[in-house]
Amino acid sequence: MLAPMDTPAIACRNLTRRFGDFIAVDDVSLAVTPGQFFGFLGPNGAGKSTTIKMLTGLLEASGGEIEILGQRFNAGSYELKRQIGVVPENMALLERLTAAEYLRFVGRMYGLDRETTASRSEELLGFMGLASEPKKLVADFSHGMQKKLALAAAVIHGPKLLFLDEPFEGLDAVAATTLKGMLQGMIHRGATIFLTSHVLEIVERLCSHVAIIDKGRLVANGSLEELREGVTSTGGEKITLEKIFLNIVGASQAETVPELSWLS
Amino acid sequence: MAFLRQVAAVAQVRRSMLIHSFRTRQGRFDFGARILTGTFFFVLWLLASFGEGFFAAQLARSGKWQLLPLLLWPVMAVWQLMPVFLSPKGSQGFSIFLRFPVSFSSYFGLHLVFGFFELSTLLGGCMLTGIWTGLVVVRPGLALPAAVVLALFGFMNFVLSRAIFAWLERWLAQRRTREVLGTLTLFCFLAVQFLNPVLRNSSSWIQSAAPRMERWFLLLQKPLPPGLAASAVQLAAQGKWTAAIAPAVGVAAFLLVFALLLALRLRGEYRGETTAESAGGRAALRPRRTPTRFSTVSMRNSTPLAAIFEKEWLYLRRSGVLLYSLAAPPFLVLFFLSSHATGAQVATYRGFALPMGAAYAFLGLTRMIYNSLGGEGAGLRLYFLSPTPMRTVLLGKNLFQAALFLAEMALIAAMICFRMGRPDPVVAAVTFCWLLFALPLQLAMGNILSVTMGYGMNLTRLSSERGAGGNGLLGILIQLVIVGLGALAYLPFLFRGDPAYAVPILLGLACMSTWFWWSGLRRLDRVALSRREQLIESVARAA
Repeated sequence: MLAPMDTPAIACRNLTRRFGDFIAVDDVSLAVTPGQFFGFLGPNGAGKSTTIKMLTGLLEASGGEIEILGQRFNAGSYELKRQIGVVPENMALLERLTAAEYLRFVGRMYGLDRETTASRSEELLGFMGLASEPKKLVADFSHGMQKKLALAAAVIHGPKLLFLDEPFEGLDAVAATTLKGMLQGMIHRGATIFLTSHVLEIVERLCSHVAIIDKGRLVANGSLEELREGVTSTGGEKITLEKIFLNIVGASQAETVPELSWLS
Repeated sequence: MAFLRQVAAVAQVRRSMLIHSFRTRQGRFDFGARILTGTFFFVLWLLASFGEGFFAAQLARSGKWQLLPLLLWPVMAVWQLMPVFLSPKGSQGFSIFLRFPVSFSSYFGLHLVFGFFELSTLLGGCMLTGIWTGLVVVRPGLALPAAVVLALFGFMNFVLSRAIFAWLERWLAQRRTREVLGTLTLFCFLAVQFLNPVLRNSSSWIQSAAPRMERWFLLLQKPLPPGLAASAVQLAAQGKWTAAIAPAVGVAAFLLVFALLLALRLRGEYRGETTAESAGGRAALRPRRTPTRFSTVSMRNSTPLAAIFEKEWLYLRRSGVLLYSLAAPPFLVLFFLSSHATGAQVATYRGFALPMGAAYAFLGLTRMIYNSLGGEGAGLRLYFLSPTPMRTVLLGKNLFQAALFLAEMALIAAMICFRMGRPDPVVAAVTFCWLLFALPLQLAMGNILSVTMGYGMNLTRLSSERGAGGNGLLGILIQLVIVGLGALAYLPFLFRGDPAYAVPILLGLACMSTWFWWSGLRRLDRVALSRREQLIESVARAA
């Protein structure tokens, strides 16, 4: 079932996650409209991966509500999960399978029939440059190859909504370019992508909207233009996403780098 | 000094890991279970040590030094066999230190230092201490030479066990060598099968030849480590100090050879060699037959259930550890048949062979059933991300486990029929009904434990993992209860001469256990979702 265009693809209200006394995600509310390429940024330990885990059902929220494609979402929302693709933080690979076996397994776990799974996995392996070593087990793949496989597995069932946690980490330039093309193609076909990445240049190039989380709290949310408006340009210098990011979460830290006594 | 600092650092890390493991209930339970099993073995071996000490004292008193090897051979057998059954830590965890500037000698040393704390070392050491005490009580003058020789013998055993374990792990990790080992095991099965009739037909000859065989054994074992160690102690006891040095050097030579074998294996690890079966260029260079053999085990429909069944088959084929645990029960049954299924004993054991064989058949699947999610590693997340409910995942796994069990049971039943003849129809019916009760109950309890006490399992190593102690102990206890319930339903009627009365009781229990399994499967979905964070933490992060 397709959600109406005015219904957000992702909506969360007052999303909170506590680990004992520590609040990893604190009262986060955001909405991602269908067809949007949404960048979710934040420094290390800010709560990005925790948020994605809650949005995809890997982690229980301590508080708040999640709606995916217009419906209330929880870990048992199996029909909704059919429409979601995820590349989680540590991927989700079965390491004792080959790439082809893994893709076929994932396809069938998402309810695809054998023929469709076979043809799509073959196509995906070629697309990702993984077809050359059909007997190699996933355990023996390099980190980059594993990342490509995780991405292939996330899209094999043709999801309407894609969650990508650091998808470009470990990818070579060629693979990253191919992936960017694929993701943009998905956006043109109406899919929604929720992406976290530390590579701000990529986020700036791909995403139309960005949210920034720091210490568990959402500190910025809007289109790139809206975020640029909040930063003053010095001497006509272009306001990059990096500048926006540093301005919001860590300008002071970046400018005063402390010295290490035994390295100075 | 640097090595000592590294040892201290590793000890510190292990201490911290132990302390952190107490943060979770599962960790505390696992530690308790390890203490419990450790104490059990310790008491067992303490008794064995007293026995060894007693016989050593008798031997020293009577001056029958030629029998000393008969005390040392069991020590060696226990030392070498125990690691295989108790799954020590092995080299698990040490390879992570390779990223640091650890020299090979330090890497080798770390293996040895922390291997000293394995149960097999402690227990083997206990038995040798028993022998030493027994000797010294009678002959105090032997304190020093016996200590030196037995310590050398003990260290040799320790290094040999590490070497055997390291090589075995290496071989089981690769498909080709696993196939070779599998074939060898099969030949062993056949050899044992033929050995027993041969021995039975030649029993009178064996009785007459026994003294001669004993002499031959004592003669042939002389150049082997227990024989050499015994010779050194014997010569020292006779005051021939210089002559005692030669056999002691012989033990040291064995120690050196085994240390070299261990070093050879660890050298490979140290150089970053991977034990994965698809490693190396050979597999990739081989001509491609088909892109994948996934379809060779295909089921007709393409449901997630079929996908899980196929995935389980692929995982089993690629895990030497699982194949090894599956091969062990038929081997035990064969051993039992060879030693007890002879002559008049056949009639005595005929009523028990099939039920006992069925109970043994479950042993091979213990880890697979009671920690069915443990081998998934990071892939466990996929189950929580995909639209396939956990009950379907567990159902697929249960169907695969049931199929494996039935295959294992068929093999064992065939062996029993071959050795003891066709079982009594009533016994067969009772066993069948017990299986109908036991299999669903095992699967149900296995599902519960897999979801609530799952732990990360390395399918390429024999080593035990964190969390294995608690899960393993509970698994064995549950199996004992299931066997006990079956025995309670069967034995009273068997001794009254009406074993057939056990059939309706077991069928009633079977209905209950099937209902328990099926209803549990439905509920487990909720339990798995509510416990997904802990499960991912213990299974996926440990991988």
